[in-house]
Amino acid sequence: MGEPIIFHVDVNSAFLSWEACYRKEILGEEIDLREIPSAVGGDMEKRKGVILAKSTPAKPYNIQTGEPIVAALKKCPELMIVKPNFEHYVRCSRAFMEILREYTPKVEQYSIDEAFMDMTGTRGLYGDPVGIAHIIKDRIYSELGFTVNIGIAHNKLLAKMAGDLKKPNLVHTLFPHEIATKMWPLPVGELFFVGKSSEKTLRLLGIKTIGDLANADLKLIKSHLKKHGETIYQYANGIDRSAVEEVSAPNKGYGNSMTIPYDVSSVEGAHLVLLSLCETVGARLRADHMEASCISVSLVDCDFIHSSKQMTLRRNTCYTAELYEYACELFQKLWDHHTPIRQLGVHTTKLSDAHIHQMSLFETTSLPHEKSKSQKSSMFHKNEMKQRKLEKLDAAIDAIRNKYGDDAIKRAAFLEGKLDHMAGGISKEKKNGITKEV
Amino acid sequence: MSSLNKPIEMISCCNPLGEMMPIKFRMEGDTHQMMVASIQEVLYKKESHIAGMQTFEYGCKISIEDRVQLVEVSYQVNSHRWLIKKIIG
Repeated sequence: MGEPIIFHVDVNSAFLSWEACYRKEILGEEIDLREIPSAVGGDMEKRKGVILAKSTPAKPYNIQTGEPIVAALKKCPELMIVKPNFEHYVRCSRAFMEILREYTPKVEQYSIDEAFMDMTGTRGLYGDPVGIAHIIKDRIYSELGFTVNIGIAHNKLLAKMAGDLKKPNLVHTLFPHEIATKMWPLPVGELFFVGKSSEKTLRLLGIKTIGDLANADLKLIKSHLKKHGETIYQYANGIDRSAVEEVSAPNKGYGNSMTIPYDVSSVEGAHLVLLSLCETVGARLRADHMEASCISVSLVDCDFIHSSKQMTLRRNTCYTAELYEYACELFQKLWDHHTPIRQLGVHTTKLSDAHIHQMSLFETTSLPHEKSKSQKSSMFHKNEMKQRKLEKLDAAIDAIRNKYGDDAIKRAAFLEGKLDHMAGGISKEKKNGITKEV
Repeated sequence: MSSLNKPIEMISCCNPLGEMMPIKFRMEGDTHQMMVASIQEVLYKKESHIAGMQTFEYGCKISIEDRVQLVEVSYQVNSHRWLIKKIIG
């Protein structure tokens, strides 16, 4: 079959391109958002007012994805901001993936707007990889109306790095002999997996470019960045052995967080948010037949200071009530009880299959020496009963929600409040199958 | 050639192969009066997937208020909506 050939296909300014293309071609608007300084921005009223995507003419104004709309407007007052429409983006994404799957069955959807294609062994069918990449790129533009970048390499990492080299609407290759000329001169922060914190550490070590990292002493990198250091060292040298996965890897954890529309400054208010998040996390765990044995609660206060706490559970669980109990316990230790809270999150990890349940020998809540044998056994029995009740309750709730919608049944605590009873994750209008539906 | 994108009420027919053809449509005029146009001839038909949206575009010769005009009408499969996309001539 010869050398592996991997394509990385990435939509240029995806949300903005899709929005522009929809407005121009379907709604018949004359202005093309791609040709003026414009951006797709979140909902300012819900305090989610950040830039989601920007046009190429907006880039000279140094507008960053993720920055607040207010800050972006200060940099460029004429910036045209449009609201996102996730239904259209999902439709565009699906059509885009469908085209890719026509060329190879091995397509890994990496996010809503990018994918890896394993094109190994297709030379006999399509000829030179660069040629077919141009055909795919041009076909996407002519059929769907938006531009993509395609990176071609022997592995996923280099393909992704190649795809990001220069945009828009281009095909780049990054084969091993090109690493030194094309990838090594780039700043180290551009390397996949090198975040702000790693970049800072590397800069302190005098490593400024990817080439510096590739030629650095591995021991030095490892002593500062541990296992992650080894990974990025390999990446800098173009080594990545991961395969194109058609089926996405199972979740390592289930978590949801929410920026609350108002600052919360009471324990009751925060507990309600936690309950709402636990509803979502629990439902997701149960939908995938998973149980978690570790839970963490994260908090962002009104000064944007982030903190979190985690604990190992006494017993694996996926029940909303139990998750909520643990989350409240953690929250009690985490919050200083006066700083207003902006965002809360509940995350569960250390997953196991819910079909195989490890029972605990010490499931009673009190210490063993305080109870007689009969008391202990009755306590154990009680706990078991409670477990079964929770299981039945959650199963019934899930079944009702599956059949009649999420809002068909909710806890009375959410009846009058402004809070959604199943908070976190993607908003309702976005739950349409691109990410797994709750 | 101007872009209109005006919603219209359409009567169309589907042949036994499932191919759809527009026959007659009604739309609101500038002074809000309803105007009826009948399609005399379909000159071309093309399918489009722009923005991931499946649409069928028909280039039609229509007669409206004793005039003959060339227009492009479009059918959005997802929303089942008909539009006059543009007036060709």
